[in-house]
Amino acid sequence: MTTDPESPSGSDPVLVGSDLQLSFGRTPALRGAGMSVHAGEMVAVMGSSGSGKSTLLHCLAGILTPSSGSVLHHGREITTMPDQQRSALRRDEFGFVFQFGQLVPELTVAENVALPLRLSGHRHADGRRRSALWMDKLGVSDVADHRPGEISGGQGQRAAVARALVADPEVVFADEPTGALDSIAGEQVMALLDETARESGTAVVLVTHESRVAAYADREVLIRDGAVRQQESVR
Amino acid sequence: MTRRSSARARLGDLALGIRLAVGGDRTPWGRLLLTAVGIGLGVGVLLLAASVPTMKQARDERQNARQEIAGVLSHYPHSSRYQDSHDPSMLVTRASTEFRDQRIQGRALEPLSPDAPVPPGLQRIPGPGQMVVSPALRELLRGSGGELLKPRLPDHVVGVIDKEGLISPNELFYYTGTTNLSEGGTTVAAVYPGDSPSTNTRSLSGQMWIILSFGVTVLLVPIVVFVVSTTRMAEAARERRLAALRLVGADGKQIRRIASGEALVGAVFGVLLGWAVFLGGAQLVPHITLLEFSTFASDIRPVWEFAVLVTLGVPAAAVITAQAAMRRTIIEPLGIVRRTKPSSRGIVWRLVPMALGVVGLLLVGASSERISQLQIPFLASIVLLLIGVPLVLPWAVERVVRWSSARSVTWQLALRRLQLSSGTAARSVSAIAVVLTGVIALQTVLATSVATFQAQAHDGPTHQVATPSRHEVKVRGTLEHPGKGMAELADALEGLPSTGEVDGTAGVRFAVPEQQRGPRRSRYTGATIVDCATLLERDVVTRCSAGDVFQSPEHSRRTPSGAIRPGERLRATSTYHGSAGLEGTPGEVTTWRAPAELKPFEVSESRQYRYDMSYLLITPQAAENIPWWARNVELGLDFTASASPDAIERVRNVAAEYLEFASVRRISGYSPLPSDDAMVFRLIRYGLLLGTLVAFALIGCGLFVTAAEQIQERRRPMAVLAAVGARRRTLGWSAFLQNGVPMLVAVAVSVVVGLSLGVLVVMVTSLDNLAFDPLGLLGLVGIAAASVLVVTGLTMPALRRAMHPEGLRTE
Repeated sequence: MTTDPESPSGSDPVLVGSDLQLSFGRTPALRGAGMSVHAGEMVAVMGSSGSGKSTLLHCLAGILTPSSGSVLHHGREITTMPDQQRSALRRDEFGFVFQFGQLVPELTVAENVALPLRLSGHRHADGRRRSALWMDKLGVSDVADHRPGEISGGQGQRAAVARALVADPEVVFADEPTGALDSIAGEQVMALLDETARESGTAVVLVTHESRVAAYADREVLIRDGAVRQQESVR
Repeated sequence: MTRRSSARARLGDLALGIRLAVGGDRTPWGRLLLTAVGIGLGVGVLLLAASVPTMKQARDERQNARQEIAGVLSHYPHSSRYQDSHDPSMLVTRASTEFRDQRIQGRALEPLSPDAPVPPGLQRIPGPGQMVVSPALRELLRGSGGELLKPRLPDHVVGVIDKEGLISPNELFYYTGTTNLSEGGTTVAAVYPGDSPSTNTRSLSGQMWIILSFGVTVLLVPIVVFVVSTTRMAEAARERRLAALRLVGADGKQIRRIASGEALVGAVFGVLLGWAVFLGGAQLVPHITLLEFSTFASDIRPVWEFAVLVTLGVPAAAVITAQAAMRRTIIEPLGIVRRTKPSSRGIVWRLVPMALGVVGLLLVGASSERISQLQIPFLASIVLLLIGVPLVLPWAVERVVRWSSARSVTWQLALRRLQLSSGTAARSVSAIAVVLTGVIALQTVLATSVATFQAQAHDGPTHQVATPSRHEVKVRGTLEHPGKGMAELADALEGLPSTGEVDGTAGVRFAVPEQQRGPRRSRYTGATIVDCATLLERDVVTRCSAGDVFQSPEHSRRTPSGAIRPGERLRATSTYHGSAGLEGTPGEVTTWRAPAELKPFEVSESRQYRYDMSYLLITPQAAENIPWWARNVELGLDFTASASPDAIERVRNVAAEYLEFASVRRISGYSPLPSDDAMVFRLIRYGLLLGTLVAFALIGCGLFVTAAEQIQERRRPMAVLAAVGARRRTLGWSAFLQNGVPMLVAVAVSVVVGLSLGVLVVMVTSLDNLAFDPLGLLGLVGIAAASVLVVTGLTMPALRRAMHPEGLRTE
């Protein structure tokens, strides 16, 4: 059963996924899952391992194309968009934080943070200025010239958060952003993600199985066996 | 406005790719370095190959310029330019010798008028008693052997021949001035084609050209394959990197541009390095002499079309390869997060190039044209067959690892890994497979050629001395003048220290007038003047009387002229003066008439003659009207076992004193091959060995990087395996098998395709006596196995580090 409680703000949803189905080979990952994301809210998608929460996130972000169902971004269907448009959407409207950061090891932290701007065709100086601002906010300015292999996991995740937010996206997708961190570093990353996202009015879709992390969210979506079982506001 | 224009954005993507290629810690630099070195060496070799036409052209031009000197002489009867000309301006004679197995070519010049042309590379014609020598000859004369050579080159060195007058930098050549040449005399070598730099104008048989071009193709194709596979080095890491960029929003076109930028860096560095290797190598080339061949550095200039093709083609190939290699990355931005089961590879399209190659070779074989006129389709078919190997290999590796099952952990780890990424494994050995295929095919063709030549040699008469002794020497030449006869020469030779028995004969070359044979028959035949005592002593005949002439029944079958008829009139000529030489010299034509009875004798196939034995034997009494100048002296002599290696040089000094156009050579056994072909055989064998070793060294480096990167990539699973108790030996053997299984498949594919290609080429070139080279094959397999062992051994330290518990840390 799919439910969609009203957003806290009562605004129109930025992103609506409905009746999403997707299988990997013979293994079904999503069986009619759906959820909506409203501007500025933080939604935690929770569930056990293999429940389909990451797949749902990837479908909402336009990384994976579901076999059926729809994902609407401000009313525009993204599942049928050509690759170029979906890439542009990911580049300009969405941001991403993954468990292991996915920073490009060959680039410095500053270059990694500026990467979405660079891919969007922003001028180099503009990219540097804006990335410096976000590195400062996330507290990684002192490792700006280091490469990912030379910094700690917490610093790497903070750099990943900075990279996710640098292009002023509408939605940040965070897949187990603290999964590879110890509890203190995890708390720091979540606190910073929460603070900076709210400050900039960015919605966050947070996939996690940790209730401690989910506690930062405005709303929790529980997914099991590829379908959304429960949605509730927690704030 | 902070966004860049579209063109700038594209350039920005390229720049990002370049940034990715050179960024990071040691690994990307190591990868870049290896890519650049691999491509650089390949480009260097390709540029060198592209310089061959220029090298040949420059040599030919200097050679022709040198021959022009010969052309001014009036003795060139076939040249209408000079046939009716006025007095000659210069006389020239050949004055060549050998020294310690090196050929020294010389020309004695006698200018007859002030406008006598100065040979290229000389400031002036040397005066009587003066010599102008090549730099290499000057060094030889100044060196330790100079004293021994001096008796043959006694003149005073007054200058050095410039590059314009030399064919190669190491050439031993000289001009000497003289006053005793006489026009029309036997000592004056009227100039004839092929005289001038005969040792450098190598004429190869059609089959040898095919083998040579086949060899060059076989060695060049793997280089191209290596250049292409090098650009796919560390593909897994690149895919991961590009997939990460896809996740943050890079679209397919951007990824292509970024990947292009990345691939371009290695290729451009490689091309630059290749030019550096080529230019640096060109400076070293003059110091290298390979089988008498060397060239000037300035001659090594690539044909500009090829140079442009290589310089632009290699980066273009790198970009195209990188584009083709990242198809999955574009489709799968989550390639790093979730890898689907790889789809199985199809075989049909992979076999198309091979099939086309086979059809092409069969068509070439079926054509009525001579194969030398079908070189392009012939070589294109071989190239198609060779490039089919790296296409088939991934499929073969995939099938082998899919069908294999394993019980031991070692096998299981290796097989599962290969099942996941058989393409990477196959690519890492694809260049080796091409090298092996080509070399095996070439070995087959070479073995068959040798067998064919040997069969032909055994089929023919045993004219050559077959004594394998290293201490036997043959002296040939024409007497300088009637006063110094063969007996005196034999005495002088016997008087040398360490010299044993000396005996000899004289050979005559007869021209058979055309009207007697018809225009289609060859006009020449040879005869040996030998006394009855020698013939009886050697059991050549059982009865002999002074004035007898013997003819073998084989004469009609074995010689182009056919049998001599009793009473037939023949003209004596001189082998050393060439067909055009004395024949056209007024007053020097001498007719010899065969007697009414030509007694039969048998040329024994098994008997070893000490001197050239003809099918026509003339006793001295029957040869009285054959002039002394037409008699080519031939003496055989022994050295005692204690003779020094320079004993032959003393023989040459004596021979030079008595004989014109003296040739003294050591008999070191029977050689069934013509010398030029034998040299090319050796050249190909050396080239194959060297090329194979270089290819294996290069490809081994690539294999090592791939193996090391895989270990780096799988650090965590390795650490987990170590944590759960896997022994280092288990993981080590697993790593060995991960390299060894693809190599084994590559060897199997190469043996099958290589032998098939060899057999096809043998069929196409109409060589008989199909033969294989099992020892050579085993050697290649051994090298392949050794390279796997070495690569695995080199990755062991990385494996040990990967198994450290540190790899388990995530924070």
